[in-house]
Amino acid sequence: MTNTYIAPGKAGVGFNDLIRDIKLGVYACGAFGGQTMLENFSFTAGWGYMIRDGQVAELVKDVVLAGNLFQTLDRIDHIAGDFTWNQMGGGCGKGGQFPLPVTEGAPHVRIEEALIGGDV
Amino acid sequence: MIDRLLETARRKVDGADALWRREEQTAVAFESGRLKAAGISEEAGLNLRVLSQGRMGVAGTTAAKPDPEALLERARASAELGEAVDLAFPKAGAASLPPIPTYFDRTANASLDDLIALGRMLVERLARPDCQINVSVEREVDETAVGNTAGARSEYRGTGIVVTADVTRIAGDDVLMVYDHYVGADMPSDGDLEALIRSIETRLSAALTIVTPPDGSLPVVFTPAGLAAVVLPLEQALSGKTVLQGSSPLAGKVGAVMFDERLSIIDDPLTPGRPASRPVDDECVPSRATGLVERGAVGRFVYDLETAARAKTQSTGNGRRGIFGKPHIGYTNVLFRIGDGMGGRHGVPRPTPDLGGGLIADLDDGLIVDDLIGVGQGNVISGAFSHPVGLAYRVQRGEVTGRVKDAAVAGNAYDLLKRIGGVGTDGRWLGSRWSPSLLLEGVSVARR
Repeated sequence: MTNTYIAPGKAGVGFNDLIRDIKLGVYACGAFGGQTMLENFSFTAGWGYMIRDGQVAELVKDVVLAGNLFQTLDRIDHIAGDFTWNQMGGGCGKGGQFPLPVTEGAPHVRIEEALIGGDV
Repeated sequence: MIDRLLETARRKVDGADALWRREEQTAVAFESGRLKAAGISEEAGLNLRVLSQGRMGVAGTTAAKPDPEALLERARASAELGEAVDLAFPKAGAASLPPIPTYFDRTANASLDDLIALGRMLVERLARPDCQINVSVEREVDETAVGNTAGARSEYRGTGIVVTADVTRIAGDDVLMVYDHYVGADMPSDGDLEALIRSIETRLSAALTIVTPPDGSLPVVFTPAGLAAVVLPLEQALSGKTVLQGSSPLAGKVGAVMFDERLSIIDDPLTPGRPASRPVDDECVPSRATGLVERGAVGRFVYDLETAARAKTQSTGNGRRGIFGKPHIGYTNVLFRIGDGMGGRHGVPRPTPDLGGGLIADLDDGLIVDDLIGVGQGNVISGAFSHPVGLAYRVQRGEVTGRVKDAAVAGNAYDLLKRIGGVGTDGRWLGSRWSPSLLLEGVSVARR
């Protein structure tokens, strides 16, 4: 892979448009790390907020998303137009090619349903 | 080599220690049942640390013929910008070093053909018409010399061998992978290889049926492999470095009972037959066992020379260093000892890998967790974990009913280890950790 990204949705659609009709949700920001194993994945957000009645609410920690990659991608129901590149300067190590420089990018993306953590 | 280097250092800086290590690796890899790669690699290098005007500097080289003067000059230059530390190097040991066998002729003398034959045998034994088999065999032979300007000096040779096997089965949109390995300083015995094969076959055949995961607060059997999520926070919290940094939740708790009173955890660099065992650490501190957790109470934190100096305590002999960079804290062999003689004893042949280690007979509904996805990401030291399952089985009315997918388990390692519901009879080595399966209660299980 080289530059891998999710293409932006309609220009002018912003983050607030994505959360306006969410009664209860999570806004996952940043990345602690992630791992895929076959078709399953685990992803830990750097930090997160609850979304309540269309508004960003309290800060929450230990936000871990889990699930099946393909099903989760299939559950994307809105994509904003606010595309940015994620300037992580990472390297891909697959097949001994480390440190092949790779970048990725995305706009804000809304997943209608995802498994988040469990009670701790 | 290091004697000449230390001699030069003695004249030019206030103190120094050095490590020279040569490693020869022979690796064989089978992919999808066929020999994919076989090769030998060798690396040797020298790491030097100096103390100059109260500051610490380091330099390393992998040059075939290192120039001691140039290496010393680089270390001294880095000390100008280095951290101030009041480091005391261990003196020449009066007592003789603990005798520990680290070098096994059988391992060192195994030819490339021997290693290929070992891999091929596993490929043939594990072959199934609907599965892909990957096997790797890696043998290492190393030599280490370590010493300092205070007069301590040691050298030793070591061997190690790692045999891994994984079986992947793709059926429709379901992908299943079952993995196991053997790690030792000596070659695996026939019994070790049989145990490896049976472990994979047992877990594979129990995984062929997929069942609905349970939901709620449930008893969960963590296999020795599955325990990683529970052990990792403890390993981080018991490191003297996190205690110094103030991030360890166990800081200030030495002597306090924080866990089940049957639980003891030991770091033991003197365990026979393990590749992580050695007579001295990488800072020439003689090896000894450290009680990390003793009958449920926090025992000792592990330190290298630098963190010990900063914490005004003694190094526990847990210094580890590479060719480049300064020494850091590293565990050696981490052993779980639970109760009196419970969980089997390390050193004896591995028992038949019965899924769940004999802990499921009384479980009405629960899980066996063998692999979790994403262990180590997130705020590990807090003890809180939450991971989707990689490989897990459902237990109903005392029996394994099948594999579960699309489930996640969550809990807090410190809380879960306050009460151990049961200890398996399946104690085994997994890398450098020895543990049985543990039954932990009140683990949160979520499903989609």
